[in-house]
Amino acid sequence: MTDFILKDLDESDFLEDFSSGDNNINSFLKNLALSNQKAKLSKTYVLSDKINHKAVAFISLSASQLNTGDAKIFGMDKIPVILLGRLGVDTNYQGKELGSFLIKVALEKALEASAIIACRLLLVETSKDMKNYYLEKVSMGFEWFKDKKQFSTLYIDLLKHEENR
Amino acid sequence: MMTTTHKKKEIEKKNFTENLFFHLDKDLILTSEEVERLKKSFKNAEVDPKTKEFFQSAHRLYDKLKQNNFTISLEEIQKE
Repeated sequence: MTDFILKDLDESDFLEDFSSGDNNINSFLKNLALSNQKAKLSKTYVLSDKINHKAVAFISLSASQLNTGDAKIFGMDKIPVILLGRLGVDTNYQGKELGSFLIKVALEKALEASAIIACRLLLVETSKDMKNYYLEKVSMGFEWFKDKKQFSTLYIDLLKHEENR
Repeated sequence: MMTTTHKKKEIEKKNFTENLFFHLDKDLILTSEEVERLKKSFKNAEVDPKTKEFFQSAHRLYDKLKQNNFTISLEEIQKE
C-alpha cells in the first residue's frame, strides 16, 4: 500500500522524475513553483510518496480578483478569488482519482483562507480539452465562465461549498 | 563576459516572462454579460445532489487528512 503525504512544496521534494504529459505543467513545478512560493506569488501543495519523497501530483494556489468592469456586484467592482493556477498529476498516477482529490483539497484550503481573508470563488484556468472533465465527468460544482483562446475559465462558489458540506 | 549576477538576473527575467501562472490575470475583466451571469449564479443557492455529495466528500477527506498529519493512502483517496 503506497502512502502519500500532502505538504507544502520545499527543497526535500524530489521533482526530477515528475511528468504530467504537459510541458508547461512540468516546467512550472520543476523551475518556478518553489521560487514563486518564496516570493509569495503562489503556494504549491505537493502529494509525495512518503518513503522516497517523489512528487506524484500538485496544485498551486494564489490570491487574485475578478474585475467586473463598469458593472458592480454587491456594490463592488472587484470580486476576491482564489486562483487554482496549476494542477498536475504524474502520468503513472493518472486515472486514479488524484485530480479529483486535489480539487477537494483546493476547495478546503480556499475555504480555510476565506475564513481569514474573504474570497468568494475558487477560479480554475484549464485547457479547453480539460473543460469537460471539470464540468461533466465529476460533479464538482464548477460553473463555466468564459473561453478565451485555448483556455477556459471555470469557478466554484465557495459560499455554496461552505453551506453544503 | 557576463557576470554571475548578470546571468542570475537574466535567468530570473526569463523565468518571470515564462511564468504562465499569471497570464490569466489579463483576462479577468468581465463583460457585462458575464457579470449578469455571475449575479444570477450568486442568487441561485440550489446545489444538485451530486455536487453536494462532492462538497461533503471534500470536507470528510480534509478532516481525515488533518487527523492523520496529512498522510493518506491511494486506496483511501479512491474510496472517498
